Amino acid sequence: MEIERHQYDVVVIGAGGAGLRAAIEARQQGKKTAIVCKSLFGKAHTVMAEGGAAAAMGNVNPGDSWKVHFRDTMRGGKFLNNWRMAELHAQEAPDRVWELEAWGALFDRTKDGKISQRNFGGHEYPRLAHVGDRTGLEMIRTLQQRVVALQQEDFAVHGDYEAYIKVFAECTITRLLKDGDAIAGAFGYRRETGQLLAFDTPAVVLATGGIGKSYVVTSNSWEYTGDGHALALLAGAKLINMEFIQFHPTGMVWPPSVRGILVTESVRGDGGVLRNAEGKRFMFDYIPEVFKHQYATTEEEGDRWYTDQANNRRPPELLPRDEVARAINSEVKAGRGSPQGGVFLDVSTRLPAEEIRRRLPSMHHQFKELADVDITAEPMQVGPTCHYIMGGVEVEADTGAASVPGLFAAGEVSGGMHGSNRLGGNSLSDLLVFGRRAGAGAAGYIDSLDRRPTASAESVAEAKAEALAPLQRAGENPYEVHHELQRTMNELVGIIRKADEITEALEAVQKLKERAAGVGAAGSRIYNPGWHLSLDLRNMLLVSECVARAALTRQESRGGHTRDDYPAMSPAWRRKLLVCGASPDGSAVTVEEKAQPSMRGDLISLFERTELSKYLTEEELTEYDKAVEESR
Amino acid sequence: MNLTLKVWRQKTPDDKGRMVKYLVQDVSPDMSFLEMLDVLNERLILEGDDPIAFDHDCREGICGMCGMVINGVAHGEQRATTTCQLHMRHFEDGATVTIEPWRAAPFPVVKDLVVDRSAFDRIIQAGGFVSVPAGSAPDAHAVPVKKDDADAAFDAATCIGCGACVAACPNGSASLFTAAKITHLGLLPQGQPERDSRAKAMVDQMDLEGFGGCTNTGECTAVCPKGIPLDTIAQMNRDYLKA
Repeated sequence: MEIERHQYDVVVIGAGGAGLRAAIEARQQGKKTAIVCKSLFGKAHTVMAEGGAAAAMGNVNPGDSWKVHFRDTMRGGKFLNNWRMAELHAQEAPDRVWELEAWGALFDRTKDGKISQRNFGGHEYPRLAHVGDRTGLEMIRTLQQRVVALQQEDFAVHGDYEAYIKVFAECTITRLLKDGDAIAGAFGYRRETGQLLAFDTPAVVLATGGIGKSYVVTSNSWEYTGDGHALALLAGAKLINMEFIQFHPTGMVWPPSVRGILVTESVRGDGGVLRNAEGKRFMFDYIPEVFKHQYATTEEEGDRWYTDQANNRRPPELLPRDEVARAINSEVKAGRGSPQGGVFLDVSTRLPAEEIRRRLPSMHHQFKELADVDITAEPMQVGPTCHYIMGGVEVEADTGAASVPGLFAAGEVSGGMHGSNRLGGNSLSDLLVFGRRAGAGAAGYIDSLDRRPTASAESVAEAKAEALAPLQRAGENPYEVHHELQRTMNELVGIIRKADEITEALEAVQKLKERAAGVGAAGSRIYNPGWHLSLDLRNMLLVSECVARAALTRQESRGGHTRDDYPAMSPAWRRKLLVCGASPDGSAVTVEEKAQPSMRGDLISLFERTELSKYLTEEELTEYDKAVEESR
Repeated sequence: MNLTLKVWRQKTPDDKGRMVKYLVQDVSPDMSFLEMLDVLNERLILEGDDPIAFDHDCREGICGMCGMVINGVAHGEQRATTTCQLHMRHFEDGATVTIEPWRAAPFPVVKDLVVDRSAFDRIIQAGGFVSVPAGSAPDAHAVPVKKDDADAAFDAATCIGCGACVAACPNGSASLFTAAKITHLGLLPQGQPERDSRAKAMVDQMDLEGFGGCTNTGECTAVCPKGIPLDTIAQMNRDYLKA
């Protein structure tokens, strides 16, 4: 069968917020751009984001600024973040949100007509620009319409809507092609017909999102099989922070068909409280030492905060997600869980029914329709669900460039920005800020090239053989291998981890890799989901191995990585990043330690010494004292 | 519960098509309508039959892909609910359920319950976006949007483009869809420069696609899963007449 061949300046893999923003930027800088996505255009996982985009506009509380946002982000990530990314993110997020408005987006307003901002866990001030509880949907709609608008311009000039930006929907990329060290193309297939595709391109932007489908209970959609993570590894790039996975504290635990679906944090931001089977608001028992001063210690104070934030501390239900997820996990394990194995999240006794329906329409609808629960009259049952991976492709903060020339990454597939734990609301803004930067980075890279890299005929033939292999085998059912991988990761490399369990998981993954090499999906190439899964399995296994290896190596607990055998956070470990690499065939995964660069003086002096002393080594504190001295 | 389904089967766009009867047994009331069809399709595949083709994606009521006429009502009798969010607990054991595709000349049937809704895309391409330079990012922040306008635009912006309004309309009109898009952008400051040309271009494209005219019947808003109000159409007509 012929391979369909296309030439582009930039190929963006993924059509969520980061992918679209990157593609728009590349096109605006005059580059011929392809957007390749696994599902239909506009159905990317970003549409599921409910809460909002964090941007320190200071519309609701003028005390907010990028510096406060930067501090919150670093605190949330337990100071493991790539501080340059956290800085750029905090500084540029407001511009990216306003830019969406210029393109026709619409955010909820304050009384005086500014963009309204809501409270969210870990954010000191109300900071999330939102559209009810469907912010992600509005963002994708706006970016999509921006693409359409650009296509109209191109039609007016070139007589072809797709002259400069074309969408390849329902296509999967299985390999990145190289010329020596540099990116030269991408290989894949059309899901619907099985038609093979090859793109000749000097620049690839990965914007493929996360890895949730390696876990049983996840809020992630079917597309989240770690494709970008694996493509980058196989192309020779590195992944960092893979041990850090965020389990969203509140996923639906019942009914089984919707297990894992998210219950937005806004429920807690708007007054919802967590109770155990005994009716106790247990979060007050789980305020960690480092947060003692920012959170209320009594229910009375916590309740007053909703109306008077200046004079009260916030309730502990709004602690960062990892703290809440661990607390729920502990309550359930101690036998104080709800009948369906979660805990109770109650908003019905906290707000009038009309108010709940107005402020949380999607949640009201979701529970009514999916579980036949009326959240205005009874509590919800919720529990932790695999939600987001902080780890991803190691990139340059300013350009999104990976170590492989021509490879860029933005959004969830990139690593560093969120450190060991991401704050709610920092994802949508991350997509916009670094999507734009990766698009610009790719455009700049192309301008710097003397000649275009070309993919060899052999590399295309190899990619073709690899893609078609499962169709020619009559082996094991790929779904069996997938289910076992999900169970392994969920049970052995989940929220709470132990050395012996992770070792067991690694052995299991090794065996699954052998089995995956033999899975078969005999039959037609036309929409054959078994074939698709056989190919996705390679990616999920590779990424799972990185997660497990990094989790075994990091002997401390921090953010989205909790070790039962090393329960404390260690300043020595904070200085270390774990970097994963792989051989081109994916058979061997390596983990190396790398030193975390010290924070720039003007940034580190934004923090108080007492706070930093919980995170930094003595040596770093001396550096801090010097920085503060110099800034005086 | 057990149900009798009467489903529209049509092999190709040119095929004549007919209703086919299926019995489905042991349907759980917790299943969604689409899950019930999945179960039927699984059986059809095992029996060597062609599964029933239908559109779906997110199954959470926001993508706008799903849509079928259930017992004569677009998305079924449950108000403000997409087909994917409709659950079997709303049906009675032993009932007969008819399932048909959207029917309107501009939405030709592709196969079974799948119709081609690209006419909607062309209406959007005619003007459903902001293309003039509406200023730089900080400018957007400097122009306040009145809360009332924002709320009204917000209601219009909830449209997911499923096409139920067209299926329900006795005239096969796409007025509610087009009006929602025009109203949403027309109420916002950044949508003002192109307000007139947008309304004209989109309404003209709607007519060109062969959608019918509006006679204020109101069937569209009754089936709209997002409850888009009828007065958006009045807004569209005002903008169109002015243009």
